[in-house]
Amino acid sequence: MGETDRVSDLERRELLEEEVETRGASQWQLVWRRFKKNRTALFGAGILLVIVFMGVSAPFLTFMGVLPDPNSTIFLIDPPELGGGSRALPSIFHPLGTDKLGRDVLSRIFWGAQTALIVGIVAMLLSTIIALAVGGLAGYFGGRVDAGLMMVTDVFLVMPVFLIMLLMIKILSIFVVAGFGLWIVITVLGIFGWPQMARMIRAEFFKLKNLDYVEAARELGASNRRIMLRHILPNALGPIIVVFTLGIAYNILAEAGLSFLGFGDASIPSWGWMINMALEIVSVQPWLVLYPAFMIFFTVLAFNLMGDGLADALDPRLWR
Amino acid sequence: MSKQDVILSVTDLQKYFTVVSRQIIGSKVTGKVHAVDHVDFDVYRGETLGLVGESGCGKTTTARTILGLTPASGGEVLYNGEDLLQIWEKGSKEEKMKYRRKLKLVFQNPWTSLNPRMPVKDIVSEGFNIHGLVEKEDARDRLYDILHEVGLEPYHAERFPHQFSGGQRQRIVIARALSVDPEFIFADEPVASLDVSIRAQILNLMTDLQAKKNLTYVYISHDLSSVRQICARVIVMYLGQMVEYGPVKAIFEEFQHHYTEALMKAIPVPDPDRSRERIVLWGEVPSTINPPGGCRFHTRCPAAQEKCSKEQPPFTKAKKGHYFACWYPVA
Ligand SMILES: Nc1ncnc2c1ncn2[C@@H]1O[C@H](COP(=O)(O)OP(=O)(O)OP(=O)(O)O)[C@@H](O)[C@H]1O
Ligand code: SF4
Ligand SMILES: [Mg+2]
Repeated sequence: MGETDRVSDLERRELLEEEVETRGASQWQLVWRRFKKNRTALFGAGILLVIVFMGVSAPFLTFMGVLPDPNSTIFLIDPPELGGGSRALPSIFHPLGTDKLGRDVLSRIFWGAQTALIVGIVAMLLSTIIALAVGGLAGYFGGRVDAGLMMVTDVFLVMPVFLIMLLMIKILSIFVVAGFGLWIVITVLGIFGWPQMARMIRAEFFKLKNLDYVEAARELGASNRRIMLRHILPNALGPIIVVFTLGIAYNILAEAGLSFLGFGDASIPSWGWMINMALEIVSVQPWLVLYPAFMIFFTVLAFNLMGDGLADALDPRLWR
Repeated sequence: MSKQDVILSVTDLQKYFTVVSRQIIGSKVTGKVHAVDHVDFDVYRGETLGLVGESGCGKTTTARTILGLTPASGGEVLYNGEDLLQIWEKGSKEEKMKYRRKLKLVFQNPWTSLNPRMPVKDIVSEGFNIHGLVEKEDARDRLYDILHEVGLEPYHAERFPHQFSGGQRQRIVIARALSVDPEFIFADEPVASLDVSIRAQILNLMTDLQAKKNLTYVYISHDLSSVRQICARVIVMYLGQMVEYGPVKAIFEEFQHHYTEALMKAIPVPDPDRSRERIVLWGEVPSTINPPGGCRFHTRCPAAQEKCSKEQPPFTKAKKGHYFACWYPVA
């Protein structure tokens, strides 16, 4: 322990401080650098950005009076020179016209973006938590744990899920106050959306748990929990992200489907409901179906395109 | 050496893997891999013991069994007099953690033994964090000290494994092992997958660390020249069994077993599949599933006679500390 040791310590400290300064942003910069090389993913992200903007800005735009209230039927009695009335044609006051009940279609498209994103993402988060617990434990522990959990998963896979969802929504709606209908839809989608992902996660955990670096962690004395969360999960992230984005897209479609069948929450603007209502008057004004259909199509496309690119971008092995 | 110098004492260690084939209902045991078959040896404190033999002879499995990474099929392992196999099987968490810390494995392949999603700082700090060896505010200093000890720079801490060369990766693997202040290290072919030009550096690093920290090594290797360079004593294994052991000089110059002789004469060739060299002898290595009876080497031994295939040769003393298992020894 001479003077020299101290000096080299000081030197090292300095180097450390420089490192810390440059660090914070750098990992995310690397992610972004990788992500933007992927044209299709970038395109997907671009579309998504527009949709997120629509969803986020809807309440503000409405509050500021730029967009009319999406639920207000007041336009029904507006004089025609203000573009009012039900099923009005596009005009300066209602750029996309009004629907059967005289509500502003553009405003409903904006608010619908919010609904779609919330449903898609929150329901998928719920599904992912269940899938991680079920698939992760099954794959990691194997044996009986695996057999039991996979049996449950298989039961969910062979059930007529959509019918059961309809039933559950009907039953739950009895107990839930109006206005929370959307959360029923989200919960039900989340509860039924995990089995495919759980199988995939199980397979990944099963494969990864035998790798050298996982054994190295065990050899170091890491707990099962730590091994699963810090060593296996991060390495299974790629496929999980891909399935996650696909799942969001699926949920958006499913919400639209449920609404279309009349099982959504009618008090909340949703693209599915819009199609439902527009179909009743499709012979008169077919374009009213096209707006929400177009939005659903692009939102689903955006998530699908982004998945792969995101999975790649989060893989440190591919960073340059 | 006197009795109290023994740090690790392995007696009759066995590890069999069962080969299972799936039936329509359930599964059936169709064979047994004799990965480690009645292995006995002592390791003295502060020494380097070599463990050599062809690929698949059970070197890694010996280490993994002693370390409790796979349950033993039989035998006894005493570490400083404590029964390790019992501790792995039914010891308390504290006991297990204590020996997880004292005995460490340096993995065979630095390309697969580092988590690709973890920066080096997390890989190296994980050990002392799990074992609670340093206060939070000292963790950084400790990390840099360890990196410094294995010849890495502070800025390496932020990088990910794929950004390093093989030699540097092995330094990280060594750093991870050192992070918990071990006493005993199994070094499983630490340089076999590395470029020939940097093997010496890593070996020097390991011997320096041994002297500095008073470590005991079991050095597993194919590379006989490095074994000769750093080991005091050597064990030669064949198909899960020990065939000869003794001081390094005796093994290299006065070998008695025909398998040892074959190893000495073999030239390592690069193995393209495994990015490292391996020893290639003539003939087929018999399967470790239901291996040949008698002396296991008799299917390939140039000096084999009838007795060899019938009876298993016992260990015979050549001279002090040098034993071999052969009916018709070389010299
Ligand atoms: N988990 C396992 N299940 C079944 N058999 C195994 C398992 N692990 C190892 N074996 C077998 O046990 C034998 C010994 O393997 P081990 O890895 O210990 O050999 P090794 O001497 O380390 O070889 P190498 O030089 O290639 O590393 C081999 O026949 C191997 O196929
Ligand atoms: S016992 Fe027989 S077969 Fe085995 S090494 Fe000796 S001579 Fe060869
Ligand atoms: Mg090995």
